[in-house]
Amino acid sequence: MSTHERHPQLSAYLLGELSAEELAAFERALAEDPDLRGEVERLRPVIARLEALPAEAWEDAPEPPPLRLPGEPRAASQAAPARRERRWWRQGPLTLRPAFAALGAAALLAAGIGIGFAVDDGAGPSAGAPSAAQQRTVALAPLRQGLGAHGRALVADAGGRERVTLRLRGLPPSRAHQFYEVWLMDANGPLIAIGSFRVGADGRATIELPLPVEATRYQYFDISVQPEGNDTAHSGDSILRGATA
Amino acid sequence: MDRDEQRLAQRLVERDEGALADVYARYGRATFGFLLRTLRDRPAAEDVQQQVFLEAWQRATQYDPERGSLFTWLMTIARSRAIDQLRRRVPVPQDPSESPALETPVAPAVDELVEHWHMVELLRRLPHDEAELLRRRFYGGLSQSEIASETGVPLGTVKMRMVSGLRRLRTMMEPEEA
Repeated sequence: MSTHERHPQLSAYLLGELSAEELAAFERALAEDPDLRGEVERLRPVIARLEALPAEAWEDAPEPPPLRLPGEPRAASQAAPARRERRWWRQGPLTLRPAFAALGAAALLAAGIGIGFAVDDGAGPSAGAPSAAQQRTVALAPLRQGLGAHGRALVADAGGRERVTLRLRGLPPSRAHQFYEVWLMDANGPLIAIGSFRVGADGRATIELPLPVEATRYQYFDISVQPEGNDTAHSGDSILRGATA
Repeated sequence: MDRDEQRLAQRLVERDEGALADVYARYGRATFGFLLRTLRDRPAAEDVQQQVFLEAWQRATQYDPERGSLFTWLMTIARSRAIDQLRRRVPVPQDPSESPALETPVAPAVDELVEHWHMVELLRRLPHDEAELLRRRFYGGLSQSEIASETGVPLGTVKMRMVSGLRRLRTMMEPEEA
């Protein structure tokens, strides 16, 4: 005969559903039956873990995205494109992202100067510059002590779509397998990577980027040093930052 | 670890081409649920989900069934990548000259979620009648008598299933706690 058959109130005891009289009777049985005590001790942690589960843990788990692993097992890749989809803000001309080195971007960057959007040391944004009323300039301050880097971000409305021109000085020259990335960021919110570039020995760069959203929807422009690789997340190594407005 | 999981783990270790898709079909929902709840950001959770399974494939030969189930191993990877992701969310200082280093400890909260999602996976493996009973008790807040009344299942059967479900969960928890 099992413990439960001998003690049909076992579950009610564990769940705290016994009346005072039933409880007293069960506790007498507990005192006399080491097997029952052992069973109670085995099952109590299970009850504790079930009681600790948040409501969302009981709800249906969300549908996961399709498995997308470049160049990986056939069965997995059949269900998805051979390379990772980019988010919408990484589509279009902003393809200069060494995180997608396997796609050839690294080869472009190896040349030392990014292409796909302007990286130069020119005097200003491209032709068709908007009027002063349609543009604003914000300062970018260094986030590393002792770093003489500084810069400005000129945000301009070009035909209903914003562009930013970043003029950066005093940046450490890009090391091998590293690049700079420009982000729009909020406090504790998602980040948007808007473009990548490398810096030569002069530590200077002027970069013009179309913005996928209005800059002021985010609080800050941020420029980070990123390692090459497949990880598209912010490295946490920010160099410059400035408010978008 | 049940036999299906043992076979699946073996196929993964042997780099059977279909194994990863099967692992994903079996555990992808649980890892994604964990990541989504942990990161609270669907695009980030989707990115990390891909990282987790890519890493699982790349490190498959390192998986040791003696050290835990395949699901536990996947959740260990998911935990690490989730913490990485949380630490990358650089807090924006009020003063831009402040260091952006993230000091907030995130591991304890993530560990709690790992434990929760582990339990969710164990519940998924229970027979349906036991899992449903536990759901009514611990999610619905019903007593055993109320469950019996609501479902028409005799109270004695409800109690028997309750103990059976708890025991089964306990048995599944033990290899992970060893």
